[in-house]
Amino acid sequence: METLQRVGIHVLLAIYVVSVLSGLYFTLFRRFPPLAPKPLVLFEYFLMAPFQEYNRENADLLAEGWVDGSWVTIDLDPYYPTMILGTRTMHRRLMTIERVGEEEHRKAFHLLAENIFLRETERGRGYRSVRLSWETWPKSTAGFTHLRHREFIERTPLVMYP
Amino acid sequence: MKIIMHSLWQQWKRFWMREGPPYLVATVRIVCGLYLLLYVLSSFPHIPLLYSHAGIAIPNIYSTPAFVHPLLQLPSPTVAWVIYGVILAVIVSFTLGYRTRLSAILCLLGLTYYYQLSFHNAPATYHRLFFFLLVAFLFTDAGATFSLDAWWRFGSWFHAMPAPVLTQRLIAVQLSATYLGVAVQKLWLPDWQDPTMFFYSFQDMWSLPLAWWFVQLSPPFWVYSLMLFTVKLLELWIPVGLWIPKLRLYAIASGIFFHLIVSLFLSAIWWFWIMPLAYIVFFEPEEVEGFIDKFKETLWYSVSFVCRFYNTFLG
Repeated sequence: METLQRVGIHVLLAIYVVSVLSGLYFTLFRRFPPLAPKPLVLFEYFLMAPFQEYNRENADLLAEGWVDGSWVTIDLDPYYPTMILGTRTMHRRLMTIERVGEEEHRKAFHLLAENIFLRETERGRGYRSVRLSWETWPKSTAGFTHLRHREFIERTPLVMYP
Repeated sequence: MKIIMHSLWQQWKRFWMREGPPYLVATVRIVCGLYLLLYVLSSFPHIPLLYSHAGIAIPNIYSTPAFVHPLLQLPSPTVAWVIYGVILAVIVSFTLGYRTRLSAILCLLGLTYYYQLSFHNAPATYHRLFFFLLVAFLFTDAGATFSLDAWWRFGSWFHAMPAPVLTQRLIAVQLSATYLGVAVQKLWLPDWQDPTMFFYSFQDMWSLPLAWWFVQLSPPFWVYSLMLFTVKLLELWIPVGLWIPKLRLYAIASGIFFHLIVSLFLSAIWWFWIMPLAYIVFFEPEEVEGFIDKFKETLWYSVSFVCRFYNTFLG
């Protein structure tokens, strides 16, 4: 039994070392090495992959509620307490789901819009509808939202609920 | 050929499985436990907003198998508080070394739950590092000393039996691989060849006041190029230097300097402090045992000195 356990640990170690080397290979060449276990390679790759690129523009989600004949901006920050700006924005982008597929991403935004609508209704805000859009705007040395103005913003409509 | 293979096998076994004093791995357990505790406590007191249907979290029901979806339904605020309490309790139990392996497994389940419930929307390398560390602790009895288990079993907090170095080696190899992978790809990634990398990165959602102040100074672009070069150099040097005993302290100093500087400019790296905190794994267990012995000696000497001083002059 003890021998079996020892052999098992060495087999696991060998798999781990192969995963690390395959992760490095994938990080460098963006190709899976033959026979390497894909989930482990990807796990290792994500351990080696922070901060690979940067964006030329800033971006964030815009939530608006329809009330009294006009769209009013909904402040989403209170729904993401304790999170720093970058983490809040990443949460709102639903990036992981974006990788799964376009349809799933749309469904997730729909669920987000529904959640916002329900929470805002519970808080007594009488929105008849909530819509989500993705906004991008040029960066500025004066601040994150300095150029988040109508003339610079590029807006992509996402979903509306109900 | 046979001799070479035999020698390689012996080296492999010695590297991963040799036995040593368990103080090092117990220290890493306590550091990691405290760090995870800080991480989970950072959500307090907003648990209902973050992890229940009182908030707007989007669970990962899109890339997980259907049989786990019932578990990923956002619970009521009361249930969310109970789950939070249980997760805190298992992290405390892991830190204190009470049924350490079981606690590590429960911590892993707790963090996986939070990840799939909410954190998956902002996935970060440090999440995976947390998972990896907890898995690594399953391979050695990290609660063999400095633990409640040792206290109850042997009546001493310092009781120690030799244990395999496997866990510390796994963590050391992973930290090196992470630094190295990050560094090597920066040698060819197109954005990392361009000095505007930091110029633009200091104007985005991760930028801290120091980054904004710096970018507003409008320094010449060679300053950004120098920063880029320094980051690449440090990330290449740290994982190599940490393995060389004579250079280890310089590598540790470089690592702390690197994390400190980046943390002052960009908030994205804040939770990566688990990496420098775990640098102890690059020492040999005997070195840490020697350090602890010296520390205990100094501590006893100081206590007895204070007692004698008190008895002589004040008692």
